[in-house]
Amino acid sequence: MQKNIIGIYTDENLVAPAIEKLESEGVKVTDVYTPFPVFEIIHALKLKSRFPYFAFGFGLTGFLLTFWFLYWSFVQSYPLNIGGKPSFTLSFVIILFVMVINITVISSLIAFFVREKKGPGAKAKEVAEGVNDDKFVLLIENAKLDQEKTAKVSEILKASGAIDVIEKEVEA
Amino acid sequence: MYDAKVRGILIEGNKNYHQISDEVSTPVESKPPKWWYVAMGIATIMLLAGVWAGYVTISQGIGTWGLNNSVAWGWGIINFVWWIGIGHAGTAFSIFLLILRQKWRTSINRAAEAMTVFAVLAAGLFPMIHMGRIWFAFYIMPYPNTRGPLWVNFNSPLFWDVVAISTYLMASATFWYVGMIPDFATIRDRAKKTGNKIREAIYGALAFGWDGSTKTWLRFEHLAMILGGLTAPLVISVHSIVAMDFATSVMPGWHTTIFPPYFVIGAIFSGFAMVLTLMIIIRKFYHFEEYVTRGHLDAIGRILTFISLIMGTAYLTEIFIAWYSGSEYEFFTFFKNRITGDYYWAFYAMFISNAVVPQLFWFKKVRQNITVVFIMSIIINIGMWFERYVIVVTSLSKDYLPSAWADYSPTIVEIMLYIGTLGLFIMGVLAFFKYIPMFAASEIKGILKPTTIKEEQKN
Repeated sequence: MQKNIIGIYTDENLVAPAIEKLESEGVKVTDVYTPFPVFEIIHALKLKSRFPYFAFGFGLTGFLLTFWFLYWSFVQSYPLNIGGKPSFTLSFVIILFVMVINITVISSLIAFFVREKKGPGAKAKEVAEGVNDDKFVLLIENAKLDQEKTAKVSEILKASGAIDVIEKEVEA
Repeated sequence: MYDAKVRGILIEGNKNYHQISDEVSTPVESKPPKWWYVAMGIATIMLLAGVWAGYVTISQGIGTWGLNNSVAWGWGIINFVWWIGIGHAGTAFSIFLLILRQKWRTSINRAAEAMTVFAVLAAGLFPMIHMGRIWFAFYIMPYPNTRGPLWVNFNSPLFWDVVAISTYLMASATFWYVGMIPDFATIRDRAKKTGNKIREAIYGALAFGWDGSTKTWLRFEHLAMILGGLTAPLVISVHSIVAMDFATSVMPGWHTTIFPPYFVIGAIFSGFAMVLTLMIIIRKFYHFEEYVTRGHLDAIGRILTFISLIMGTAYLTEIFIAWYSGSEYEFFTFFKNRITGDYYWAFYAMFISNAVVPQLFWFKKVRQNITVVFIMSIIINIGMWFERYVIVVTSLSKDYLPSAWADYSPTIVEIMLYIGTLGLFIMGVLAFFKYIPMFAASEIKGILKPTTIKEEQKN
């Protein structure tokens, strides 16, 4: 039998110690739902993101694409003679600069929403009430725990300051 | 570490998280006050006047404006630059303070970003209408076409402008929207609780299925920093490029290297003044005194003092260089057509409003008097309009060839176009008051505890 165990807190400072305690007992905390980002919780869950590296990649792609386009259209496809000045000029820098930002912004946004599966019409995961208001909700999902261990987890949550602990049985 | 004892409490009234959700969501969930309808009515009339003027301009042509061969740019470009300038502060404010990790931004960023989006929209209308044949507007897009293919001139500041401003609009609008998602989720959840199905559906769609997961928050924070970090240089580049529209032409008074930084500073100056105007209105009419504290207004006042000093320095530098360069045309423009001459009134309106009046912010008494601060923010906005007027009209009306000198005054069509964009801006801001949470509630919750004095510290 698998179980979802939910601990509800009203103080964000109590959550990180609870996570550490649970992890030391060998219980994996799936996620914590909070009304605002809490650095200590991110740290306690040992979460890491490769997002900045991806953004750098997007920027690089944007740079190469824009440069290729400028060079092809303005130097190769139809070189205009503007006062005898060279077609391939340093002033490409400005369009390059702006377009790198443009492309990186758009791709980062798309990457974020695709990775998080968020968008118009996406259903929010309902863990407990008040997550977007004033509750900090610790979730242990699909835990395979025996009776004794479940009681222990509940006790840890309550001892750490949770105002409520909910246990739900889920079908495997 | 933020020391609330030294730097003041950011959110007054000893609030808890639920109270913040409550108070920020209330204007969205309740009927707007009476004055809101009155203001919306006036804004609609203003917008209709602008629509009429736009119709006249497009159906009859630019000949309905007061332009002539010498003064070929008039109110159109003045208002364009003015709006772009105002549109600068929102993002400048929000992003520079985000990167510098200034916690007091949280009370102001949402409104500042909203203002940016509407101001840039208003600005964007001017080049479109100014084209005369607006149905050919798509010619500016670089796409493979049957006219050569004839590509746009990638070395022209006017084309840079198109790229920079549309990128800026896109980046600031998305930055604004992404920041709103968690607050939309709050409203969605509250609507569900009270059983308001329509509101739940609308804000549910807007909230993109936000659930407050820490994994999402981590990427969200990264996304905010990436967007912020990228848009910050864009703030500088957009107005530098607008300045190059002028600086790369060989007009006396325009052809100077000081123009890009001078324009950027001017833009941030006018935008901050507009943020100040807006925050005082929100504070007063929606009773958000505990969110926008005197401390916040004081901080903006201090920044304005500093920027005003830079403005004054820029004005004096321009005048000094006009003399020191030995160029008789430059000398004429600055000394015979700005400081003295036909347009002296515009020059002094600019100089006094931007470089002299804001110096009153040195006095704490002035910074603490909200009425005076409000009036000063309006004066700065007017002064910045005159700055663009001085730049555009004085240089063009009397250039190298005295036989080509001409006067310029706007026609009713140009004036109505300007009023129309003001109407558009006011409408946008009013809609923002009603339909969008005016404060970034999730961010305010995040800074609440570190910026309040704890019980044990009080003694």
